Amino acid sequence: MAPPAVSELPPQCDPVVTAPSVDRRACVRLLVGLLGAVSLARSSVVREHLLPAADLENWLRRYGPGRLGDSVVLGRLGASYLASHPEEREPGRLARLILRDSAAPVESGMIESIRQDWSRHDVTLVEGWVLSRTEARICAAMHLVGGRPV
Amino acid sequence: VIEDLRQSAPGSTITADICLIGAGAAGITIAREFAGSAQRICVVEGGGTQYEYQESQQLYAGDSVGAPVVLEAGRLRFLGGTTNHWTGRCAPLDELDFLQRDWIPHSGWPLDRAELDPYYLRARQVAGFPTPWLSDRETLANLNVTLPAINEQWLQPFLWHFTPHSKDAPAWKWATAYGPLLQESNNIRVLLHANFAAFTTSQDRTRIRSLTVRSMNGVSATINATKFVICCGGIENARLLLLAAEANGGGFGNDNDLVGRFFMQHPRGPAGLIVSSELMSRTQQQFNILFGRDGLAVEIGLALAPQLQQRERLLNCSGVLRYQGDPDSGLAIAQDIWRSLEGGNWPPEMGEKVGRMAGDIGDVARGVKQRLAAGHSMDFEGSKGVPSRSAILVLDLEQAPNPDSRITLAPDRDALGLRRVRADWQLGELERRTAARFASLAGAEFARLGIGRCRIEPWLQSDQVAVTSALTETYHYIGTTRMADDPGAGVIDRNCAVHGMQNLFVAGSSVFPTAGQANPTFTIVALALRLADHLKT
Repeated sequence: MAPPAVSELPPQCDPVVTAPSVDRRACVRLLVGLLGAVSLARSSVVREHLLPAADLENWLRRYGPGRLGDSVVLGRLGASYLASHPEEREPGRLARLILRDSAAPVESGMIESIRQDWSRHDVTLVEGWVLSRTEARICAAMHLVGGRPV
Repeated sequence: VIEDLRQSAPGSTITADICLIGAGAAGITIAREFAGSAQRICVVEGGGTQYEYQESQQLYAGDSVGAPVVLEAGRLRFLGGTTNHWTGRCAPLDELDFLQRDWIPHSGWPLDRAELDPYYLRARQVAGFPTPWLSDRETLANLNVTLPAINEQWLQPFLWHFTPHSKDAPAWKWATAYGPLLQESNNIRVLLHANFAAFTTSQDRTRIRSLTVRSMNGVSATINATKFVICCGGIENARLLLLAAEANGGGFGNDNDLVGRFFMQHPRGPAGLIVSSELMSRTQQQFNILFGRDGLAVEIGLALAPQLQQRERLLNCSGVLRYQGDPDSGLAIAQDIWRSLEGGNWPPEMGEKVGRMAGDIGDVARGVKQRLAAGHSMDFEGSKGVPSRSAILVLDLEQAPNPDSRITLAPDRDALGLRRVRADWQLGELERRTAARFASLAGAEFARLGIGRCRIEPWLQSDQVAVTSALTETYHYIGTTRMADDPGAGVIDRNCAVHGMQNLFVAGSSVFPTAGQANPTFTIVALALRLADHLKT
C-alpha cells in the first residue's frame, strides 16, 4: 500500500463541524417575519386591541403585519403548515384552535396559547423552523386572510 | 528511564512485573501509579517522543468501509498517545450511562457510577486540576454565571471542565506532564519505537509468557512479565487481540467473536442554526467556554435530562453553541479598521464605519477589553468575544452499541508485516431520533426564553437524508473490547482482565460497554487508576 499523503504535523483534534446548510441571508430575511411572533410570545406588556376572539381574521388584517412581522414570509410559512395539515384550512376552526375558546381579547389569547404550547412542548417544524403550534396556526391564518393590511 | 529500542542491542530480554503496551493516557496513568514502588514496570511505545509519520504513524493506516473513520488522523502514535491532540475536555459519565436500559440493546456496565466516583476524584488530580471538583452550582458561581430558566425536565445544563493550559501547551499533555517522572523513575523503563510483534503464551493459551516488540529498523526485544496490559486506544486494543488470537489459534478474549464488535464513537454534527434579531451577548456569557476566578475554563452546554431519556427511550446527547461572528457588529468593524491601519491603509468609508462603531460602543469596548485582558491581538476571533446574532447548535451523541459496527483485520499488512485494521462504523436511527428530539426541545426552549429561533438541519427533518451527511467522527473510539461479567457478552471482566486469560488486561475506552455523551478521556483515566489499584493486589 502506498503511503497516503499525510502532513508531518500531527492532525488537530476536534473535527471541524461544517456550517449548516441554511443560507444565512435567507435566515435573516425569514427572521424578520418571525420576529413578531417572538416578541408576541415574550411580550409582558401587551397593548390590547380589545377585539372579540371571533374577530381573529379582522385582527390579523388590521394588526397582523404590524404586530407579527412580514406578512408575506409568515403567509408562506402558513401555506407550508397547511399543506401538511389540510384539515385546519377552515378559518373558523383555525381561529378556535388558536384562541382555544378563550374569552380574552385576541392578542392575549394568542399569547396564552403560545405560552401553553411552549410549556407542553407542543411544537411543529415548518420549513425547518421550530414554531409553537399556535405560531404555525397564526401563520396559516395569515395565509388564509391573504396577509394584506386593510 | 526512557530508552529507544532502535539503539538497543538486538534480541535483548527485559524482565518486568508489569508490561504496559502503549504510553497514552491509560498507560502513563498506570505507570505513574507505580512510580517509586518495588514493582518493575516496562512501558512499550510504538512511537518516539514526537510525531513521526514514516517511523510510526503510518502503521495506523487501514481501511474504512462504513461511515468514514480517518484511521491515521484520529489517533496519535507517540509518547502521550492521543492526548497529544486532546483539547482537555473532561466530564464524567452520567449515572444512567452505566445502567442497563431496556430500550438500548447491549447496554449496562458491570459497575455503577458510584464505584467510579472515587477514581474520578483521583483522575482530576492526574489530569492536572489544582483544585477539587466543584459541584455544578459552585462552578457556575465561580464563573459568575446565572443560566436562564431552562425546563430541566427536558434539558439540563452540562459542564465540561478543561484541564489547565498555557499558551505553549493548550491542554494537559500526558507526555509533557509525566515524561520527566518516567525518565527519572528507576523502576519504570520506557521503550520507544517498540512496536507490538507477538505474544507467546502457555500451552493452554490462558497465560501470556512474553511479548516481542520490534522497531522499524529491525531491532527486537522480548519482555517477560507477570502481567500485561494493552493500552493502545479503542481501535488498536482490538487489533492486537485479534492479531494475537489469529497467531495463537484462538483465545485472547475472542472465543465468542466479540473482539472488535460494538465499535462506537460520539457522532458529532450540527443540529440547527439559532438566529436572533439582536446580538446574543447575554447568551454568549452563558452557553460558552468561560473562565473562572481560578483561571480554569469550563464549557457550558445542555444535555438531555436522564428522566426524558428514560421516558422517551432515547440515547444520551449534549449540545453546545458555536457562535458565528456578525460582520456588521461594531467589534467586527473595529477589527476591520484595525487590520487596514495595521496594513498601512486608510480604511475605506471610515466615517460611516466610525458611526456604526459608535452605535455599538458597549460591545466594542467589551470585545477590546476581553482581548487585551487575554493578551490577544484585536484580530483575535474568539468564540466568546465576537458579537454574534447566530450560532450553530452542535450535538455530541451517544451511539447505541451495535455488534455489526466493528473493527476487523484487513487483508493487507503494515510495514511490520501485521494485518492492518478495517473499520466498519455504523450509525443507526436511534441516534437520529435522539438528535431530532434534542434539537426540537432546544429550539423550543431558546424561543421561549427569547434567545433566538432555531432552524433544524435537514438530516433531522427527514429519514431520507443519510445521517452520515451530517455526523462526523470525534476520534473517540469506544467499545471494541467491552466489559461484561459474562464471557458471552464481553471481552473483559469488571477488573479489565481478558476473559479466559490469567494475566492479560485491557485499559482505555475500548472497555466501555456504552459511551454516554461525555468525552472519554476522563473516564479512561479513572478506569486506569482503578485497574492500577487492582494490579497492586
